[in-house]
Amino acid sequence: MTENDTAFSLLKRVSKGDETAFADFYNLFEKRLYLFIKSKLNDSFEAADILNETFLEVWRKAETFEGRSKVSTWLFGIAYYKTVDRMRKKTDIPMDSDNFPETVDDSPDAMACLLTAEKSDHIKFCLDTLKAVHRAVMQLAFFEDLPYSEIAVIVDCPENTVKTRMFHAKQAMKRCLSNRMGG
Amino acid sequence: MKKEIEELLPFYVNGSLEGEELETVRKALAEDETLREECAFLESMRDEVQNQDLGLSPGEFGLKRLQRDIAKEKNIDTQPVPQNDNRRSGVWKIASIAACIMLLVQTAYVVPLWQQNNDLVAASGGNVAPVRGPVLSVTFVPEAQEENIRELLLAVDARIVDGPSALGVYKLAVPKHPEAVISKLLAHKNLVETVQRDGGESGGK
Repeated sequence: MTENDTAFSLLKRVSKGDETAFADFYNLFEKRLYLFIKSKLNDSFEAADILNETFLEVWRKAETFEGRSKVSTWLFGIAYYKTVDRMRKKTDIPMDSDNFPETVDDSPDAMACLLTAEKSDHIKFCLDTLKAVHRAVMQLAFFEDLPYSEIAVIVDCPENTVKTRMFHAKQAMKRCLSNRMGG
Repeated sequence: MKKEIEELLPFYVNGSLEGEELETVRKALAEDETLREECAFLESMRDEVQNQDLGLSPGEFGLKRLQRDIAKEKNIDTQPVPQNDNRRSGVWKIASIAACIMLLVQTAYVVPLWQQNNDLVAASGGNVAPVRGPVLSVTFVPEAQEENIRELLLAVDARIVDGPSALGVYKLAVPKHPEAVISKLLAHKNLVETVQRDGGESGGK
């Protein structure tokens, strides 16, 4: 039984008001979903709030899920929408901007540096500096290992935009790492 | 073409690429050294994201919070809608009738008292005592003090029955001896500017 099968069967029970199934569903996704929300908000308290709102939405809307997408896609989509909505209310930062300047450094030295053993801290640091939209896509692609088609459904944008965002995220990472490691 | 391949690389790295796209990327990687470097870079990024500290998620506390919220929602949903309680509405009906009767009795008692109260004078002048005797039109000097005017009017037994008009004319009713009153008024030049008997002779500075 795949994770999606398990989640779908739990969701069916949740739709009938089964609170035990709801707790199992929560335990199945809670950590990953929280991490995803936090990767966009970078605020533990707000992330916990949105996590709560997302699961409440699952409780209320479980019966509307028709199984046309994976359960995780549906769930992360709800979380994404709520997170973006919260960010819009909080800031004036455009949430769908892909047009930041690119100063790519493809020099072999920089690339060699990136592959050294001490890169871990720098990568961690640079991941935190990514724009929220890029971090979200990166999180879905590299933590959830989702295909771009599913990420597109979650973040509600064309598949090509997902690929472009991922490309830009990678370029930004390279730029950041080059600066930090003096490449 | 190379950019297209580069855009597919993250999804090659996370193992979600399939079919024709997967084949295209594999072929490009076999032929291009820089693409292989890109791929290695993306793999190191993915490793880092995969190994990131999950930190403390709300966990059990989050679940308890949810269960509390759900219980709250359920309570709202299952709260009985108040039914039409005939016994209770009967009590209220009697109480409202009693209140209406009390209001009626009170009104019947208070309104006549109101009408007898001479302190309450209608703005329309309905209760104003009728003007008796001659009426004088008087203007006062601009510097005259209210206190001095009041003393003078009391001294000559005159009362203001109208005015002031836009030109500052007051109508004074004097019960008797208007000529003597006119003389007395005009004698106070520091207060009175002009005096004129309505329909009669006039005087002034």
